[in-house]
Amino acid sequence: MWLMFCCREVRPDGYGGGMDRVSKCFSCLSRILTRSVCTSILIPALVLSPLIQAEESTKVSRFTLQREKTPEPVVSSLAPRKHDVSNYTLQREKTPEFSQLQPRTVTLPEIEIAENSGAYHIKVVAVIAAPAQFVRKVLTDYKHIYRLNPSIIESEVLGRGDDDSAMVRTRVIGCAAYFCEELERVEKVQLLPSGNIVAEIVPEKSQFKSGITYWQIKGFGDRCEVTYNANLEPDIYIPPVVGKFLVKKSIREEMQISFANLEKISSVLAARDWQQDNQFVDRCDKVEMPMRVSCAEGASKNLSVMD
Amino acid sequence: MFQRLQLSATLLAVMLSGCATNQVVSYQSDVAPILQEKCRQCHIPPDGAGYVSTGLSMESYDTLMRGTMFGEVIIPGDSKRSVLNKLTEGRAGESMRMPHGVAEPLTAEEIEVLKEWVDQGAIYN
Repeated sequence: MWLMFCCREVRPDGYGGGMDRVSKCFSCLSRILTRSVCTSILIPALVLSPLIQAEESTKVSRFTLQREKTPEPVVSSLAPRKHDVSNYTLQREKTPEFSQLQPRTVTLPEIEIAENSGAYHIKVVAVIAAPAQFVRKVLTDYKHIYRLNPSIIESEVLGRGDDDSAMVRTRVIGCAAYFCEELERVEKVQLLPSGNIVAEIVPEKSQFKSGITYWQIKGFGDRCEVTYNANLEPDIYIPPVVGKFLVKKSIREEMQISFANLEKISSVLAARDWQQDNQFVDRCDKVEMPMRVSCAEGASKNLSVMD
Repeated sequence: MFQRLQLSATLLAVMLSGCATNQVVSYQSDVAPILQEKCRQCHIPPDGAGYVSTGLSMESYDTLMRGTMFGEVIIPGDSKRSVLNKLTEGRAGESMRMPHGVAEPLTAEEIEVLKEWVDQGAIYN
């Protein structure tokens, strides 16, 4: 049918058409073929991929919930599945050197994302299984900020202020379906006297029209509640409806990964600090009484030297 | 039409030649020697400074893929997001560029080999 449609003006003997017509016939056929491939493969792939991914995330949740029911949870429910090399992670959990360093609780973060005139409001509330001081330490460890999320593909401390602030540059890659976009961001990050953290985007050095992020960290014992509030207005074109839906989905996934890593790194630091303290006490127990005072001081200072 | 055919043939030849030059990077013969020479002196248990501070051991392929106590350092097929590539390429700031200290820096070719290997799936070959 396509042959008839395309080559209707070309006679079989070549007369009335010539090589030019034959060439038109072939190019018409190739155009139709390309369009049919696009229609039959690409469009369903684009439409179905979010659904397939959504199904995968549902499976992950179920998997997580099953784990939650086990008496000894060893992996955080916040743990990312997308970039997780499960085999290696599981192997590592079994080795004695890492066994004490695993997060101890499982709590899914609550994530709300809303969009209004190109500005995204994101709110995340999560209970992190690590003391507040370690969560703060991870969030203000700007040199290692890339550990929080694999999507931070570049990071750099541009300078530090006297008011516990720092100018931090990050380049983040965000993918929605098969389209990826890299966004440059420079923020002034400040640790407030309350222990909370505020980060304000410098628009002239960023691909954001505006943006402010607020981390509220409330400690209770060996855990803390972290509330993340952000208003971000990216300076890129996002197609309406489908584009915004995919962006929200991508933000949700990245927030889950970030919070899982925040919990993991904080709890690793806390466990390491605890081990160092114990080693210190062990050593101190073997020495004379006058030494004990300085040993105790040393143990309390471990937090600052654990880098 | 003949011109179009010629153009198509040329494009096909270019595409095929592009495929042919995309060499497979071998872990054992290309990647391991770089890690051995530039990274292993610190990332070796039990006393290597890099091992002590992060838990990353470069003793073997398995320990490398296991990563640090903070997470994996290699995401197979994705050098942009892999910590190994971020740090060797200096994408986390110059002060974080690997290798640290007195070790000789990686050459541009060595950085490219690590990138290609990760992008090709970071397999043990």
